[in-house]
Amino acid sequence: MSELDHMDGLAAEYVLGTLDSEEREQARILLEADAAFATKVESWERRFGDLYLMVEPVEPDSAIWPRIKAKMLYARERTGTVEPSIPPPPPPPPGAEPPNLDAIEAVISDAATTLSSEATSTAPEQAPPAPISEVAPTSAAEATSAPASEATPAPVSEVPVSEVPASEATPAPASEGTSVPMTELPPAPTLDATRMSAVEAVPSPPIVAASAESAGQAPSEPRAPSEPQAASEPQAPSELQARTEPPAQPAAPAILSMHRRLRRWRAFAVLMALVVVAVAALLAAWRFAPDRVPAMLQPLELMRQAGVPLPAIPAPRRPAPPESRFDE
Amino acid sequence: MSTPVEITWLLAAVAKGDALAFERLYGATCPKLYGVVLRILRRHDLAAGVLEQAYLQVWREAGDYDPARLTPLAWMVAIARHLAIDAARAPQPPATESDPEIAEEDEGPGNVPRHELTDDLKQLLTCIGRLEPDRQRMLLLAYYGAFNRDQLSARLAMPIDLVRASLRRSLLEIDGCLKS
Repeated sequence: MSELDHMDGLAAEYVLGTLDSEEREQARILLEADAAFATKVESWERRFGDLYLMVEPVEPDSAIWPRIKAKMLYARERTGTVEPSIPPPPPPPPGAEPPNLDAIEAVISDAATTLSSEATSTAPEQAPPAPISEVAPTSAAEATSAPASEATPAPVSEVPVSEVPASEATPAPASEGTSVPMTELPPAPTLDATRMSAVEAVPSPPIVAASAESAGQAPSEPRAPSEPQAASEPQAPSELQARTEPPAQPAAPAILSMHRRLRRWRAFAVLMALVVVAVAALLAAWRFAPDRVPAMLQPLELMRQAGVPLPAIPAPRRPAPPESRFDE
Repeated sequence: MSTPVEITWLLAAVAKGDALAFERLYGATCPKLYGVVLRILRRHDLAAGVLEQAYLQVWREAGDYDPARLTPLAWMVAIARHLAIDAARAPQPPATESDPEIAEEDEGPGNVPRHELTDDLKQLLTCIGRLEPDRQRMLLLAYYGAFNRDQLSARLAMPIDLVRASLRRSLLEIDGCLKS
């Protein structure tokens, strides 16, 4: 063999950079269409791959990064219209996020994908279930208000004790959230037409959410139910608020963080749906198979643990006197 | 300078949409990419535009990166290089006072600290070193400057057919040398 074959030569020169524009175009078409050619290009890329190490680094103009930052959101959004929200995640970098929550949620979301769609169906634009990557415990209260209260009339406030990590066991009573039906909420101050409206409307029952996030800053729950419209604006998380004013550039991180919040919210929607199912199951067990319920799940025992004052146990009914006409 | 492992982590985070990781990735890698791009385009205004495109492409395609194929930086450099070559082939606005063409420097490779030399690179350099000196120079000029064959022929005062034949021969020899 004294000559590279045509394809090999084209692949090598494509990588080397000696082709003119038509040949490059040709090579790119082949790259798309011909797997064998793509393999050749790849192997040449690998061979010359480290030659860049010998190029002297040059510090670029500091104005370049802001320009990239301003455009990166748009760059992702364009692909985002094809994929749900984020390209398939590779194995997460070790240590980047607390793995425990991830694992737990992965299991949970697997188990309850069907339920989640049911429970979150009130969200205006429900994005397809996306990989849940992180959950901040702060948004716990966020979720408790919405899906749980709407899905079933079950006594939600009692439940989290058994199913939910301790931090969430705040007895954020579902009834509080329900007084503001989600559908009535205005789309809130939208930044971006499509995505934002979905994202915003979801966490904007933040009557609860906002107060949870700004833990203790301004617990404004009392006025929330009475004036949902007014409340949703001033209570929007401060980060978001700050971004509404200067438009294009800083909006990017804001929207990203909204995406993240949406994911968190979804995770908790799933979680709460599970809780609801558990309660329903427990209620059904109490109703239909009380003898199979383990002792520690018996209604009286649960009430005692939750600190509900028990009414005095009525004395066991005495058998009716023999002459009674109302004997069963 | 971050290690390849760190850059791989950053890339993985970028693939998940982590904007902060992307900023760190930019900080860690942009001098290298800019050096490569600038070497090809020899104008800061053009190189800046290409660098921007390159990082946006990295941001979009980070999920496609396959660690089994290339080191993360080599993958990013390949993206930037191809964009730079395309830009170099496209008709460009003439250089202006404010964006002058950078004077030609030594076309050969720069110096690499010994510890940064990878085994692959050592092997490649050995193979390139076995080429005739003229063809060695042509190959490096082709890689670092991304000149097409016309430009190479003008620069080296060589007929274009000879340039083409020399390049192919060099590539074939490198192919054989690396396989052995």
